[in-house]
Amino acid sequence: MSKRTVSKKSKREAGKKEGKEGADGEERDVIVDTVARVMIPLSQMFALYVMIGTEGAGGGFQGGVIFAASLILLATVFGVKKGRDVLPEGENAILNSLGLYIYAGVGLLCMVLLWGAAEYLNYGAFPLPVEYALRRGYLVTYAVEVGIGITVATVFASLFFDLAWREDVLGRDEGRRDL
Amino acid sequence: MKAIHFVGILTVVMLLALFFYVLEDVPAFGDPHSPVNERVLLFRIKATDAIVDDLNRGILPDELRAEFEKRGLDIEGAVVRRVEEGEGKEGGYDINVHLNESEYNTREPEIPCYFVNVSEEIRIYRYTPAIRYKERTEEECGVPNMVTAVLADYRGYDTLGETTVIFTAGVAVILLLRRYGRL
Repeated sequence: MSKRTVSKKSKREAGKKEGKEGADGEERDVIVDTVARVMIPLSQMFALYVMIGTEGAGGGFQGGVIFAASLILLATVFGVKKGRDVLPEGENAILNSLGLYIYAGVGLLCMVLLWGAAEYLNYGAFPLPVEYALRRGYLVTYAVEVGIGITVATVFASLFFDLAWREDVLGRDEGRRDL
Repeated sequence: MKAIHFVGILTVVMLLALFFYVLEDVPAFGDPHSPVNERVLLFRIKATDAIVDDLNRGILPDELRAEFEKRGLDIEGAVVRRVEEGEGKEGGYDINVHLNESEYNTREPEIPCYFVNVSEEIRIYRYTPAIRYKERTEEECGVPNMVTAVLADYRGYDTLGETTVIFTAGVAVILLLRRYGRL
């Protein structure tokens, strides 16, 4: 970072004038900053397309990982602290299990809503007002894949944040938000 | 050198040699017409005119039915359909079977399960699941993407387990690396 900022002195000064400082107090590069600003929403939209779009290749796992990659890009460019502001620890831990709950819950609802007449994860039995095949399709696409995506994205983001989190000399966490 | 090392190396070398020896007979990898992707031979019986007549009329011959039942295969509501010879496709007969697997599907799907090929002898094949997925996922699951349908629908339990594995890994890392505070 420091090398780059030295070589682009004028840009660094321009950034200084606009008050562009990272969450860690470091000066940031304008190019990296701008590109990340464009790329993060784009990659998040692409992640949703991969997750929900059924025409192409992909699925919950792939889409989730792409979404986590966008969060990791955010954290590397704007600082881990800023990244944790976007996805705080508490919410992250809740979302970790929420995706799994969605998946297992849909399977359980199939069983519960028919009073035990259908099997666990028998999507076709879910009482939706569409025909059999479409019921399976909708549940797979909009519930199961999204559930997998939420779990995978937040777990991978959580792995990154936990590994990248810095502690100060006294062993206290920096910038920890009270839950 | 210890004797056990020698035995180990010899085993590895022999397996390697065997692998190269067999390599020629392995069907081309990813070939859509390789047996794994299409069908596997179940059994073969002698061809007689009566059997071929029955097949041509769309009736399952008694001899075949007896063979199926001897092997404990489900042949409920069997319908014989002729398959014309086509591009890269052998001619023969499909045996469609009612698979009563989806209680809530009112259409009672009739699925080609077995394939009969008549030459000097009669060979009975079983279609592999790949055929089923290729031909019927969109109709059965309403998802145009075959991989999604197989992953989340037909093999839903498996994927649930995989998601649990990832979740468990995440929780383990949280427990290891977060120093204090609540989760």
